[in-house]
Amino acid sequence: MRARKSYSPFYFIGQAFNGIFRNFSVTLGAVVVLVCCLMLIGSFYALIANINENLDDLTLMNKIVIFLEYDATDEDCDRIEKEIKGLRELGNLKVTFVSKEQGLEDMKADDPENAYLYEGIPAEDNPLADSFIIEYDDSSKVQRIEYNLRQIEGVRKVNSHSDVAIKVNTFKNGVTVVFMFFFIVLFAVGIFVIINTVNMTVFSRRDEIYVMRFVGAARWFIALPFVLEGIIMGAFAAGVSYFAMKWLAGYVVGTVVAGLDMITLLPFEAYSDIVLYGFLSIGIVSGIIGSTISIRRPMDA
Amino acid sequence: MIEFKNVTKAYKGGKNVLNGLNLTIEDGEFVFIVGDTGAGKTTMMKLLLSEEKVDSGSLKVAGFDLTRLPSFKLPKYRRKLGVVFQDFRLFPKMTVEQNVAFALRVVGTPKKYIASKVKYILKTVQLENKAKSYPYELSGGEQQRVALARALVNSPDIIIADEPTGNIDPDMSRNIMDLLVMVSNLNKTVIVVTHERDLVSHYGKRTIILEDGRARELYPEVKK
Repeated sequence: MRARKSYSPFYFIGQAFNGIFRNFSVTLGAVVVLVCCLMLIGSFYALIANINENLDDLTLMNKIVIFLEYDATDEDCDRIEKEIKGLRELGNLKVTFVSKEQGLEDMKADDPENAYLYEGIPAEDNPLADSFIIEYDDSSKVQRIEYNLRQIEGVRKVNSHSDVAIKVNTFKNGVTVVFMFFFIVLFAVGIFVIINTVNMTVFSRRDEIYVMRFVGAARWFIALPFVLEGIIMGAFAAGVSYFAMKWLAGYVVGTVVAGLDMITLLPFEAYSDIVLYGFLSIGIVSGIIGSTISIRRPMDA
Repeated sequence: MIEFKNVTKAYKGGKNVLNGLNLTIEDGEFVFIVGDTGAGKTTMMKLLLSEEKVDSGSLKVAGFDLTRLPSFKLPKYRRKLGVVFQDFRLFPKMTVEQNVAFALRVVGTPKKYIASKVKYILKTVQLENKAKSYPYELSGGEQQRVALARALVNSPDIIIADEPTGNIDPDMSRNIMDLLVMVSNLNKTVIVVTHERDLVSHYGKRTIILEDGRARELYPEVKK
C-alpha cells in the first residue's frame, strides 16, 4: 500500500518568504508601488464618498414643493395626497402636507426679524395656499415625477430644482466613471508589478521548477509558494495603505478643512471598513492574479 | 509498455521532425536511441516527457495515452518516469542527500520515509559515503550518479536518460551505463539517448536508430 502524501504548510510559507527576501529590494519597490496604487484608489473613494455626502446635504435637491389652488378643500387635499402616493413606479416618495396656516407659521419662524409683518393676518386673508412637500430618493426620475405632479387636478404650481438635480446626478455619474477608470488602471498596474516581482523569484528558482515538473510534483505544489508570495506582498501593501490612509484622512479632516464651514468631511471611521476590506481584496486578488500569470509559463514550458 | 504508432511531429513552419514513427518498447527493456543531429531524438524525448504533443498518430506510455493526456494528469504520469539529464541539474546549495530527498519531498512523501529511502538509493549508486558532500565537491561521474539516484528514488517504471555520459570521462561513462543496466535488471524500462556508438556496441542492447524521423532497428555485436 502506498503511503499517504504529506505536505507541510511550513514548506510553502517558508518558500514564499524565501522568495521575498531573495529579491528584497525588488519586492520592497513593488510594495511601494502597490501602496501608491491603493492609496490613490482609496483617495478617490474617499473623494466620492465626501462628494455624495455633501450633495445629499443639499436637501432641496431631492424635494419638490407643490402648491394647490387657493380654494382647495380638505377633500381635494386628501385626493391629491392619494394620487401622489399612487405614483409608486417613480420610486419611494415621502409626502408631507403643509396647510396654509402651517405655511404662515413656517414663514414667521424662517424670518424672525420680520415676523411682526405676519401678525394679525386673519385666517380668511391668509395669502398662502395649502402645499405638499414630496421627497424622492431617485433623482434620475425627477423630471417624470415633476411631469406627473403637474397632471394632477387642483395643483396650481410645482416648485422643483430638477435642473440642478440632473446636473448633480450627471456630475456624480461622471465622477464614478472616472473612479472606475482609475481603479481599473491602478489595479492593472498592481498586477503588473506583482508579475514582474514574482518573475524574479521564478527565474531564480527555474532549475528547481524544472526538476519538480519532471519528478511529478503537482502543479499546485509548484505554484503555491509563488502565489503565497504574491498574496503576502498584496496583503502587506494593503495593511500599510490602510494606516497611511487613516493618517492622511485624519490630517485632511483635522487640519486642512477644519476652517471651511461650507464643506463637511466624513470622518475616516465612516468608510474605514470599506477601505480596509477593499484594500485587502484588491491587494490579495492582484497578488493571486499576478503570481498565477508569472508561474504559468515556466510550469507549461 | 511504450508504443509509438505512426507518430508525426513538426514544429511551426518546419518540416516533419518525426515522420510516421512506429516503435514498441516492452516493460523492462533496455533500449538505446541513437541518431544524427536533427534525426528527432530530442523531439522523441519531449514527446515521452509529454513536453510536446504529437501532431498525428498515437503515443501510449505505461497505460497513459499521451495524445490526449489532460494537464491535471501530467504529474501522475511523470511519477512513472525517472529522468536523467545530460547537465545533471543538481542544486549546488544542497548536499547530495538533500538533492535526492528533494525528489521525494516535492511529491509529498512522508518525512519519516525520506531518510531511509535516500540512504538506500545512495547505497545503490555507490555514493553512501558522499551523502553530506555538495555537488561541486564531486567528479562529473559522481554528479551523474547523484542525478541517477534522484531519478530512481521515487521508484519509477521507466528511466529516460538523455545523453547521460555526455559530460563525463569514458571510464565513468561505463560506470553509469553499468548502473543503468543494473536498473533495467530490476524490471524497469531504460531508454538511453546517446550519440556514443562505442558505448552502444559495447553493451549489445536493443538499439533504435532514428533517421529522417523514422525508427530503424539495429542489434550491434557485443565487443569483448
